[in-house]
Amino acid sequence: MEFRDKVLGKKVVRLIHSLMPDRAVRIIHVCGTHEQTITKYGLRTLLPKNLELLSGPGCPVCVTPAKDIDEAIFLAKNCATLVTYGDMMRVPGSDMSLDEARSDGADVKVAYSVNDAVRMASNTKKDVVFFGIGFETTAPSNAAVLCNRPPDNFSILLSHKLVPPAMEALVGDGDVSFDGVIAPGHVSTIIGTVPYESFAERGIPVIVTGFEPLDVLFAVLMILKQMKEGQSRVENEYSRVVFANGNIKAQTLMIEAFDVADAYWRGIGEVANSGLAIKPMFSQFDAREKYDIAIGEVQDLHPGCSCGLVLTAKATPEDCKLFGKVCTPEKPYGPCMVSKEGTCHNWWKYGRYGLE
Amino acid sequence: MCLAIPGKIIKISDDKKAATVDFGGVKQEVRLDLLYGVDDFMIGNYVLVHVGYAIQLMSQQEGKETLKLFSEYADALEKELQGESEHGI
Repeated sequence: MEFRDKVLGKKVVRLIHSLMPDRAVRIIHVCGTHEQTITKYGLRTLLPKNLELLSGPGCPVCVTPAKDIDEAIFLAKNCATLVTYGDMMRVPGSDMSLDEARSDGADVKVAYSVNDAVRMASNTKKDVVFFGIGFETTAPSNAAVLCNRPPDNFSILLSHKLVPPAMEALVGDGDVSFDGVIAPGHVSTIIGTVPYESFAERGIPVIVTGFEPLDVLFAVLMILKQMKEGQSRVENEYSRVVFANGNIKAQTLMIEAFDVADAYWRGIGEVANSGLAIKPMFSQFDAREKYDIAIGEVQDLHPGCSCGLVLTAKATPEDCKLFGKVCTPEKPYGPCMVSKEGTCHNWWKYGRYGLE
Repeated sequence: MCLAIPGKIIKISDDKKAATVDFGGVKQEVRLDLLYGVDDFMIGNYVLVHVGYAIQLMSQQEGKETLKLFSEYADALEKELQGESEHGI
């Protein structure tokens, strides 16, 4: 048996239909990789019509504010070699993307890991700045670099975001309600399952979930079972890599290197305690301290872009007038169309219900 | 972005800070900074790797165990539901 076992998959789908109540059920996930699994394998076609699988702000590339991209472009044009993950290249800033800035002469390079950027800095006299974006899954790698004392010509433009405070903002938002949460597997590998207890205590079942189609179907089944029993607990469906306390070493490094800070989420706004800032003791490696960054007026989303509504599950990509017309993966107008994890990108590529 | 891929440790560096990891035939260097107690006993084990860093040590046993649990969960639930319909609930 494996994680794409058809017989078991069909059985789980049957059970989901048996447990489904008559009323509408809304389940939200907060991870771009889950959206990818759901659309790629057409999981929505297998589910009851009155069960909605919604997509939250789970794409770090999409929620990185235009201001931070503008800062990265300023650094690449004026101060240093700016190293970024490939996903970030085509995301529009206020005036242009990093990709367009590079065509314009800015010094931008793509790397797979922050470690590649550290190596680049060791081999050059020029300053190197790493654009540190991502959720809790990614933040520990940057913390490890700071704690290992990188070369003096290296610094980080930090733009990390934390998932539980964003979930809190969604749940606290009166406009939307959810019957259950599919929690992100790899974020949870780092933070564990404990941070979700407060949601369960308020009546929302939370299932920490892996990324195979069977994982996601099982999570839906587990939520429906809890609902039927009138319970709300945190359950860990992804126990093969997620432990209750998470990865303590990674958490310790993050505490050593970063302070928790308020953060701005693109299309959503300021969320209290939802980001990280480099601790003052590492300020020589903080690009915002090291350079006088000067940027123009920030335009977070271009007029007409519905990314903010899509990221908060208030609209689907199909509700957006620009979707698939003005805005496509070839020529993305908004950030949710750029990344492979963006909801708009996935719906354009696979369709809402997956490929027929 | 939070994509993470399992790979098999085939070598650990002398300073225990990095490993050579085999991803289905492609070998890459992976940092081990985020793991406690790194030692040669980990060679042959699988690690979950994200942006060049191992974020968790895995065991194949756990993967098999999960599938067994999935199967048992589904069987038990099916029986429970059958029982309910027989009793007219």
